[in-house]
Amino acid sequence: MKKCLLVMVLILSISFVFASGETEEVLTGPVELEFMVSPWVGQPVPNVDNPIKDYILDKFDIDIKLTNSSEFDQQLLVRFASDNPPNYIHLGNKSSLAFQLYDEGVLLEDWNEYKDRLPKTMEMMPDIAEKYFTVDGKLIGLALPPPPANWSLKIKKTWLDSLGMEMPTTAEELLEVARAFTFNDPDGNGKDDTYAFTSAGGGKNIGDLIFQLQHMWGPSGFYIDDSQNIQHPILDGNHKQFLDFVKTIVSEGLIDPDWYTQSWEQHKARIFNDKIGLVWYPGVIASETENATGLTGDTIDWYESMPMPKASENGGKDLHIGIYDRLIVVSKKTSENEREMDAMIRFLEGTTLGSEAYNAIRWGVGAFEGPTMVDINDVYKYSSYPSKDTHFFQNFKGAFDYGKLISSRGDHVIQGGTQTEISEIALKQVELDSTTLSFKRYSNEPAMLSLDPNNTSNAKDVLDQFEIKYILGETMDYEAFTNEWLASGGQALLEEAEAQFKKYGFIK
Amino acid sequence: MISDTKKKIKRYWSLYLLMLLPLVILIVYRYIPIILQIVTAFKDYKLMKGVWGSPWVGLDNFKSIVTLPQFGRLIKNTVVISVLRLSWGFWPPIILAILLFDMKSRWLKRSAQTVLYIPHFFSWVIIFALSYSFLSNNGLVNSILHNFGMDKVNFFLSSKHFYPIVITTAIWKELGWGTIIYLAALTSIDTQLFDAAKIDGCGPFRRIWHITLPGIKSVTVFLLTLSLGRILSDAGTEQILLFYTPAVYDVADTIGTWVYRQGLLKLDYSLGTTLQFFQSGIGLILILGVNKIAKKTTGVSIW
Amino acid sequence: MKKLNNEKVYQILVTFIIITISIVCLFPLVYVFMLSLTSKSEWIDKEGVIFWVNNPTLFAYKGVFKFGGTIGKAFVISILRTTVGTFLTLIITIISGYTMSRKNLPGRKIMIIMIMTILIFNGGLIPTYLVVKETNLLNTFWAMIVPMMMYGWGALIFKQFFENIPAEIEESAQMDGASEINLMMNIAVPISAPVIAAIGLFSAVIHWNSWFDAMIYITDPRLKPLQLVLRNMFVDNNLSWATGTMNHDPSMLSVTDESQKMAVAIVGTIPILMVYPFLQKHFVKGVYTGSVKG
Repeated sequence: MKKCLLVMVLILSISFVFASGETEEVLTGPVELEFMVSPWVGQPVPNVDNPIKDYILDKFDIDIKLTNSSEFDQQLLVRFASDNPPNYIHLGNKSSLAFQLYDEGVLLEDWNEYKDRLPKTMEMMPDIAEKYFTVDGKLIGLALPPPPANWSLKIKKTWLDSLGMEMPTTAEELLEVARAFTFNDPDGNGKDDTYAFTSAGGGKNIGDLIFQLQHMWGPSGFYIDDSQNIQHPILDGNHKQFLDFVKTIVSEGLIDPDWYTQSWEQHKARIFNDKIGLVWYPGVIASETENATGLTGDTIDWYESMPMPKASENGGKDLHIGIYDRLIVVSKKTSENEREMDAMIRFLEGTTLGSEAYNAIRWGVGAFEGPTMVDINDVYKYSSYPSKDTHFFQNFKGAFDYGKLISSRGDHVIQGGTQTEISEIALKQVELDSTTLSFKRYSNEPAMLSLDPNNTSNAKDVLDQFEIKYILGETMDYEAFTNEWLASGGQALLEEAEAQFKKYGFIK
Repeated sequence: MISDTKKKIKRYWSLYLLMLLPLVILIVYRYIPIILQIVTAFKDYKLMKGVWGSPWVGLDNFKSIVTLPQFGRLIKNTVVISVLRLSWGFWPPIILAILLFDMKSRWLKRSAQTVLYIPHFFSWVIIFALSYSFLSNNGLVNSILHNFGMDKVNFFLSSKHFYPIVITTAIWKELGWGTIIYLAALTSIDTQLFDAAKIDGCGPFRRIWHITLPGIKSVTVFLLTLSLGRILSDAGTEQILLFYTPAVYDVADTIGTWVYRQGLLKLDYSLGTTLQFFQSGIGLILILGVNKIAKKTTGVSIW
Repeated sequence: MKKLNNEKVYQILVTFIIITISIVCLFPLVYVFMLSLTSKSEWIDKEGVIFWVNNPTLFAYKGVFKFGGTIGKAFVISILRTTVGTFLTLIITIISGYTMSRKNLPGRKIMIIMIMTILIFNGGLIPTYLVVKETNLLNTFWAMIVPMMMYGWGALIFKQFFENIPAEIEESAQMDGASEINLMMNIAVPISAPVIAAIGLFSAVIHWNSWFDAMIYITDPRLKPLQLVLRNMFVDNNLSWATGTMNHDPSMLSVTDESQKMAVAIVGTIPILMVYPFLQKHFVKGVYTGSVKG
């Protein structure tokens, strides 16, 4: 008994060592600011022995606390509910959260008040994004220009060449090529083991590749047609034609059988194994494939970026570009504290794209020994590290997540490794991405829509269920589906979208 | 009568004293949140105003859920899946515990015990990954079917396979772990009873029927009552989210999974709270009812 | 003779069933372990279906220990949390269980109902957080322990067992002049060693596996337990970022995200799996050996 008590007392006293208490607000010295982000990595970042933290302290006189937990939404909820919000919140592309938080009155209300103190930041924000995030004349957050569109169809050039075929430009041609890819042994290994298509539905929906194919007929969401009316693919027949196409490729066996259920990671196996002819990927596929196959250089020439084939008069364009990249909001509490607000402004202005602090925090270049960055051409840059020990992301605590706070893909940096010379792979990635940038796209008025989340979710449920059933042949009744979709939120969304288009002046 | 009670309180004074700490923790960390949660179910929760400042909306939150077109389906699936889980999953751990207990070979008993718990420790994400590698188009089962000349089956897209897959994996995951509490109960049975049975020449089945089972009756009834009370509460949302696909929503979509999808696009605290309260409320009524029945039929009850 | 054969047949049946089930239960461990040793090239070759590894590599484990640089400290926190937490939880549940088992204790029924209610109602994210905040436990080690101390299910199980203690044992102790506390400490508790082992094990596992409470309540990186650190590795879809795969150096990466995750799972699970063998003896033999005679 006595021994037990002694052990308990010992444990209790050790535990008290760990108990940290509340701290008083200090009015001199570095400003403590808490930055919250949905992480790329999410490892707890220590407060000591942390060069990036020290850099920020040095440069901005800010003692930065990084909150990078993976359950972002829950954390956000709990912090605001307990009236203890973080200072800076990186919302990524969850604009609906921004509007919701603004409605609840917990955010800094109007960035217009700080316009003259944030010239570079304001310059970076596209006008259209400013319009989007202005509520009742108040600018509720700060956004960056939309990321360069680098996702597109990538087709196996090597297979096209070995079959003597051209890159398809219509849905019909695509089917022809798909059949050849699947049945004519394009990789020449004597086995019937190739597929034209794959996807990564993850068990939730049809997956990116298949989803994107509907752009062969027209835009994929609410849009404005030539007669200035609001339209939607479910209502104008495009969606049905698209589903018929998918049904064909599934029933003919032109697609990887696990297309609906496999995750993104799982679908990579067949891709890297040279079994798939058409994928939906950014240019980094060159790098990933090479890494996966032992860096032999053999796979660099596999792919070409392919524009969306055309299946109808108004079709044949790629998805519209977005209107912003990552939204930053700041809590109301911060805006009421002059000292904190000053520090925040220093940070924002000092970490804009192209600044020294941006390159230091995001890529480790300029402030720490080792990481380097060189130009590939006048748009793209290449970052690398001379050795394992100077690998920025491997050695610096929190590098990814600090970087995410300020990151913009508009910096056009290709992440290299420990080869300081620009590799063939990087050049291929640049080629694939640059080509993608040149593709024709649908106009982006739809990106300005901000629709009711409940209706969106319910309508999406109806859509997801119907799509897979139709594709598998379990149902044929498109009309019943249309009615159900409208009744489950589609009609309400249609009206809401029309009202918003009118508000922006896109429709009279 | 009053003096009688006073005498009892006097007798147990030391226990009451000891119970102070548990009661404080119970009330502060469990009851206060519950009260807050119940109140929130009747309010339109606003972050800035907190629980007490937010406006009352009476039964509006409940109405918005109950009037959903999918509500019927959600309830049906939740109940069906829970009942299936309970009816198929309740008794295997008991049987396994008895088998383990009766096993003669000590080393086999010990090694089996160390291995049986393993599935419990791996999260559903892993169990799903394992199931996927068995059931995907490229997986073990389909390869075997293919070799025998049969068509491959898309297990995860098939409504009629959903329940068997989910229930089987759920049982298997908790089978070993579930034996622990029954084993503890079994070791508490008076060994004299077993010795006597041996002398009388009782065969295994008679022994189980007359000694083993009655020995664990109270624990079994207790656990059964609790499980029945939680029928609506948890049809295994975490597991279902991993195993289901829109192709099987009509049998797989439960209250929990629906709330999850709703919450993907917005921070909706009220909805989740209302549903939890709804499920818990029904659960409480169920437990009260089952407890009464248990008392009448088996003589064993929670109070 | 017939009856002896019955027993033999029964034993064979039992052995067979148990061996079969054991093999089936070993599957996850084998699968996870194999996958954690799979190199990227092998995974691609076999298109993701791995039950046996031809060229194992420990690279994934290196990734876990290097990348969760804080693993050592997190491990210590988890051990501390589990031992302290389990110990305190046991105390609370034993006291509660015993008190509720006293059939003529006034107020017993209310206590039982109150404790049962918390098994059904759970309070929710925000209210619990607010309570933890208001009681000054936020960002402390105790936030991971105190809210969990009232393990309702455990308390009710103890009640069940204490109620089943044969009355004669209690009565004979009482006749010797034992007080209620004596009864509890010297009679009831020793007899329920199996139950204590069981509830202790349950509580330990819950503590070991908890990460959500730590995530919500604790921001100080020095207090983060192992499962939280591991979970971030596990759910992250950008593990490739973490281990720097977007690079062109052949020596830097040779496993897929899936393998990395499996290594994480192994590291997080093995320690607690090793606890059970120590408790086994409580689940093997009968405890009542007819201790009351005259």
